[in-house]
Amino acid sequence: MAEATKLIHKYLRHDKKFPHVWCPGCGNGILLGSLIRGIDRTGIEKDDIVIVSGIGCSGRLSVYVDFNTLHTTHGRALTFATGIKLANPKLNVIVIMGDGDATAIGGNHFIHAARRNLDLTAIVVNNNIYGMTGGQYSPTTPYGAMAATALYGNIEHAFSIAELAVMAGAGMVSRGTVYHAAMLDDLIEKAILRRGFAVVEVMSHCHIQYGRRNQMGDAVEMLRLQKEAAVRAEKAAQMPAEEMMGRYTIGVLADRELPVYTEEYEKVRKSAKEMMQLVGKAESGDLKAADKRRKREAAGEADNAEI
Amino acid sequence: MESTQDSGRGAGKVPLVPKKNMAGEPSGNEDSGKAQFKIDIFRGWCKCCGICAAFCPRQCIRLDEEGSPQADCRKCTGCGWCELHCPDFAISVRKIEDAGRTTEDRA
Repeated sequence: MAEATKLIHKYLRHDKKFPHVWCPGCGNGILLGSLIRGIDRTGIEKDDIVIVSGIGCSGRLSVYVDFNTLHTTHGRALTFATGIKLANPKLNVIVIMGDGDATAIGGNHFIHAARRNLDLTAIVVNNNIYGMTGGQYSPTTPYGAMAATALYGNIEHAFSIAELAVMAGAGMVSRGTVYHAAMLDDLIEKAILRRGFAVVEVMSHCHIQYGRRNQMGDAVEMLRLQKEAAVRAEKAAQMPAEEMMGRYTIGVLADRELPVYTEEYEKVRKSAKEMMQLVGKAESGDLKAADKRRKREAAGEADNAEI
Repeated sequence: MESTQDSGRGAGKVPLVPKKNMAGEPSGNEDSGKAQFKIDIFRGWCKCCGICAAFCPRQCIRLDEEGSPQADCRKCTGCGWCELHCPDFAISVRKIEDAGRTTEDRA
């Protein structure tokens, strides 16, 4: 198994400061490992991969990996990624976002990227809170939970990111947890290889900002909670609704063949090109005729002048 | 006992099942026919979060008074759970055949 560690080191930027910036026991570190293993399994060259990240704890991830990377503004990771993909469709673009990044400030970009079925891989790290900025509640903080800006309990209801993406029309949607790291490797690998918008919601934990305020214990306890709350999609289908209360499904939740935006866009470009060529031919024909007429007239005028 | 220092340190307070093959006894290794594994912890990157110690299925890793993980590889089956879940990439589990090389590498 030492190969696993060797593999990780193959993809890390060793000129960056290690150990990384995340708190002890943070799920982002486990996700980083899974992401690297997932990418390695696809066999795609380092230079053909672009990692785009937004702002937040998860945004730091792009700093540590040795691919083409882009650390963008808050919530706009998907818009930058859209630009990259459309400019060079050959690149494999992987977007890392936090829950606040993807569903609050970048919520509109998220649902529209899913609706368009852009050929991107979106990894949304859901830790139920804004960790880096001090524990403000996010769109995925559960109802009643405590946060720095919800001292009497959160009165808003949480988004379910994966289900949101399914409804918005993403090609592939899956959910994993950092506790089930081996499964997460598979989900990330599948998502990268999948054409179309592939979302992986990664259930992570923030024991510093969220766990501490909600008496959920440290990283170890929060990983145990993930183990208890996660139910495989196949098993969940057979479970009564009452038992699923407070739990979530993991695995591939949606996998469907839909027209991919980049390919559709290429078709439009092709048809537009053909149309323009036709128009160009017609116009240039007219222009030549007009040119000849003008020349003839000019010659005639010159003749007249000479006389 | 050319067994590694790690296993020596952990052994003091861990009530290990005193069974047949202790790692480091060459004859034991060969007799049992079971693969032996070695857990290396890279202290420079370890943040002492305790995940490895809490979830090791064979309780091979214990935390000392300072919360630092100490490995006792005698019961390790090489499942690699700790290696996959270490958020800081500070754990490496390898088969014992290159254990000698590992200790030198670390030093």
